[in-house]
Amino acid sequence: MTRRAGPARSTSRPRALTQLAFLALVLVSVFLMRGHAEVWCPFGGVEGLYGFVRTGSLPCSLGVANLFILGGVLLAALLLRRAFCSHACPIGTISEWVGQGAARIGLRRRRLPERLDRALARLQYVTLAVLLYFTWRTGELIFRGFDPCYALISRHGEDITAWAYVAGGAILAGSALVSLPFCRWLCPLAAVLYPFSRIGLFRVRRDAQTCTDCGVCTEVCPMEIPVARRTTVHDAHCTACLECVAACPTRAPAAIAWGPPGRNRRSWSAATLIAMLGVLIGAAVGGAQLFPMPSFTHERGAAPADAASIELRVTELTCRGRAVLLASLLERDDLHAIEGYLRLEVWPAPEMGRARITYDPDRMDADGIRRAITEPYYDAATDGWRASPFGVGDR
Amino acid sequence: MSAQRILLCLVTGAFLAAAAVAAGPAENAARHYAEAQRLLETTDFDGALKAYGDAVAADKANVDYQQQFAILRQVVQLRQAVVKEKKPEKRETMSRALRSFYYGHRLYGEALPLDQGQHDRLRSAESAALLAETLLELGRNSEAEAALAPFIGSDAAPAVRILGAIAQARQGRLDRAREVASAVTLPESAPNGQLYHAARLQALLGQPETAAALLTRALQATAPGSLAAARARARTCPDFASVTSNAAFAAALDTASKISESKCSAMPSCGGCPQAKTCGHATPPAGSPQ
Repeated sequence: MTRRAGPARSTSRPRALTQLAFLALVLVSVFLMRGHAEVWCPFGGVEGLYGFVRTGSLPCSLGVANLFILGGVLLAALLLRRAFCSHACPIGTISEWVGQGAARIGLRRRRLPERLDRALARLQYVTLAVLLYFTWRTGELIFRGFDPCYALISRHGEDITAWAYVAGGAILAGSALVSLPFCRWLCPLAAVLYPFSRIGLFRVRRDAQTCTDCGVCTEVCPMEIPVARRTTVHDAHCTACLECVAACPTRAPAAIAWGPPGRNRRSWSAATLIAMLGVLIGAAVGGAQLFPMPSFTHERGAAPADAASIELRVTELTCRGRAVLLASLLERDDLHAIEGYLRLEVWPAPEMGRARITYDPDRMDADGIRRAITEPYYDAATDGWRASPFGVGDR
Repeated sequence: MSAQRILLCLVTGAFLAAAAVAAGPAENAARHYAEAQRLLETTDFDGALKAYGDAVAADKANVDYQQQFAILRQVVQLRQAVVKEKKPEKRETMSRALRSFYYGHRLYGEALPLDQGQHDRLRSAESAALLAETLLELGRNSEAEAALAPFIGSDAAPAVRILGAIAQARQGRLDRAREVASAVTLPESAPNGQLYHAARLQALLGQPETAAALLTRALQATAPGSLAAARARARTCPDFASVTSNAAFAAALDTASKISESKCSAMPSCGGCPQAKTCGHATPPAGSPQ
């Protein structure tokens, strides 16, 4: 049934350093800077995209940075295939390290038959479909409490369940026995990347004339692609890790090369790949900073041509829930009711967020908005009075 | 007066002045705050508002003072606005908000005209129950029974029947009250108010264990922010007077709330926010901000 694969090889040095750098970036951001790292998850962009297009709002704890980083990763897949997975994804890195660690202590990887491998790979689409169906239907990341990656980046957030650690443990245990089981069979982001990766520009090519058919390239491939049987690796799950290129014993001319299509069969270096990936991810991060779209939008009516808007810095406008509360306060129906409120756009942030309120200047004024936001209110749901958590200051 | 005595007086005076300055703002603020609460008990709303304002001015960092001041300021405005309000729905919302404040401060006499006015307008079982509840708090048992009478029947809502039974029990008709108590069953999801009244009824009928169990459920179903007021209300309720020495009842008074409230201000993301599953809609539910 299963065959034993060769021992997991150490990752080539440039890629190992890149993986280490990305993982360190995540860990420093999460544990030292106590940051909100979930906004940099590309799959968050997939989960939030539909709701954002439909309503202008993102699920709880996501931000527009998710959309930018998703854009960067998709663009990277069009050029470099799934290079993000093999160089930047923390789950991929940890899974790979576990596999290498297991090999060091004598555990040998199992290689599943190709047919079974292909069948298991379809689970990615099932995972993706289930996640997107429920997320898009409810508008919330309802599986977050079961997500081992979220357990890490939220520093064991309050909604994390024990199942997140069970799933995490299963991924790690599986990675010790089989090469990258999560990345190959279960990762929902991989399912999103497949069509882009399939037509990806840069590919691994094998020169059948210089190749000695030693089979090392197949043996070292962490995605278990039979590189030795391909002349060009079209497989969508190629992660452009370039381990096959590094391991090929035939040099000058190289039997295995990586690069764009063309007659020049010179292999592009791993450093070039890393630089390109870095530029694309950097551009996504920069884009998120330069074009900060609101992650929550709420409208009450069409804005007339002479509508006015006020931009406020609002304390405690920390999250989506608070943005919903802010919208409720602008729609309050009591002494501080404001008639001309039209539209609210929110940029939540720790401690102090930003809100832009569009209103009809003939029916209300900026002072009325401030009062509506900051005055106490009666909460009919709990039959009690509550103080507004918000304070405001002009930008 | 000798020079020694003058010196002693000066030193003592300086010491007292220094102590007053050192203890100053916080103690002054606490004094104003206590005064505000005392004035509120006497329904001197304007006086209480001024005293809260003085407390805020004396201790600008105290968030609790600021909140109480802001809430009372709005209640004072609301008291004036509710009588002028023409729209029935808005007037009802305002009345509910005021009633909530009055009940929180046990100002039942202030709640009575509101409930009476609402009942005169609506003449429904619900408005009768609200009116009867306030009348019972004021000890006007026969009036409470009369208000509920048109709505009492085997198909009446549990709240109506329980309040009616309390009125009867207080007037010595325990057998009739016992009949109602045995006939009415409250579901698991019963609101805290109903559970509280059922506990009162059981206490009046001399069933301390059942009363304690119902009070426990009532407090568990009360929002954490309203728990202190609910406990205080139970402690001072005359219906529980006969069971206060019961150990189970004493333990029930210390019951914690099982309602989770939003703590999202304390978190960098809303991962742990109890609203996370419901707040993801672009249009917030009207009237229930968070």
